[in-house]
Amino acid sequence: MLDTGQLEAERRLIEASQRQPRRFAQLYERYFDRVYAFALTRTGDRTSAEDVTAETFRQAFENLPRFEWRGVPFSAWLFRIAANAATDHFKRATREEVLAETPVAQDESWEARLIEVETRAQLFQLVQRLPKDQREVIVMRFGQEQNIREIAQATGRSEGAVKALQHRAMTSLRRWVGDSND
Amino acid sequence: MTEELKQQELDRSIDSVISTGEFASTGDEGVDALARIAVGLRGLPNMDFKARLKAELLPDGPGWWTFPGTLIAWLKGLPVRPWLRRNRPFAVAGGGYGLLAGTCCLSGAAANVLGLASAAAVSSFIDGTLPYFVAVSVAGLAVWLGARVFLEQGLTLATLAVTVRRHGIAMGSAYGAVFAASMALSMAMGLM
Repeated sequence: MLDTGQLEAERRLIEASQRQPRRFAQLYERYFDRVYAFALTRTGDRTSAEDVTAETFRQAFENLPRFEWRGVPFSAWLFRIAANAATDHFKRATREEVLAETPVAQDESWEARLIEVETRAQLFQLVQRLPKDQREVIVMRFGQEQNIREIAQATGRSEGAVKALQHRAMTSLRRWVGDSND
Repeated sequence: MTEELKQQELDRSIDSVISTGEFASTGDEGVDALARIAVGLRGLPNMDFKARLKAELLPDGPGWWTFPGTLIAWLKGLPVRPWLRRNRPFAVAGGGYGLLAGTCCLSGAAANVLGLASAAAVSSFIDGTLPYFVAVSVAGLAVWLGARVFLEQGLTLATLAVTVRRHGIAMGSAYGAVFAASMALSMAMGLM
């Protein structure tokens, strides 16, 4: 939850972006991980999550001049756009019969989904705190879905060294998540 | 389990997580805890995608002040439309009651144009009735505002003050603009 000061800072940033569209870059950086995590939680796969995230930010950018501040976190507005974009995405996919199944768990509560979104977004942000060599391995492994051999070839390290970096990175992330939940 | 074996087990678990989204317990509590983290990392955003989308939304280029096109875009980005939308009912009410205030001017002008009354008669009519039209329109606007605040938030001094503070400018300027326009028309016709 944002405190009053954070909400006020958010309001100022939104108003600045409404006056100068280029300031939207700050909103984009601030909310990208959470919107993407939300989209990923709703869609269940990377390609769909990227489509939904792109559509969400396009709509947000287009409609920002009409956004009215009501003291509610900006993320709530973005999540609503993302939820609609995900629904549209599924409708299109169903029409085109691309997806054989809808991966969204319909019985999952909204609250449980939000917790999952926040947890994912937090993890995505924590990756940026890792030392460069560990971050590189994690980004290639999870962001580009490369296996250890491919990463070893790309980085010029041995497979054993890559596995060790991966293990160290996961240990750090585990510790940081534990610390932030305490 | 040796360190090397743990790293191998973790890598196998991560492979499983990436391909299926779930992890199977390895029997080692430490490795399983790390594999649970891997579940949350599955689908980690691709930084190339993030950069591409940002470039698409906000293409790099000269400052917004350099070209008229970007200046127009900036002007369009000003929150005028949200302001108008937020204040629309108040501006409409202000304009409507402004029209009521100016009715004596407009009806006099119409009567003069249609040849139903001389300029002197219309002028006398406007002079005599204008204060009443203004008083009735202001009272009507106050009643409308009070009723709206009462229906929406309950009528108290505080709710009334907040509404006036938020929407008073739109309401007052619409009232003033319409009323002034009707008087300006009469003046231009030499009726005032």
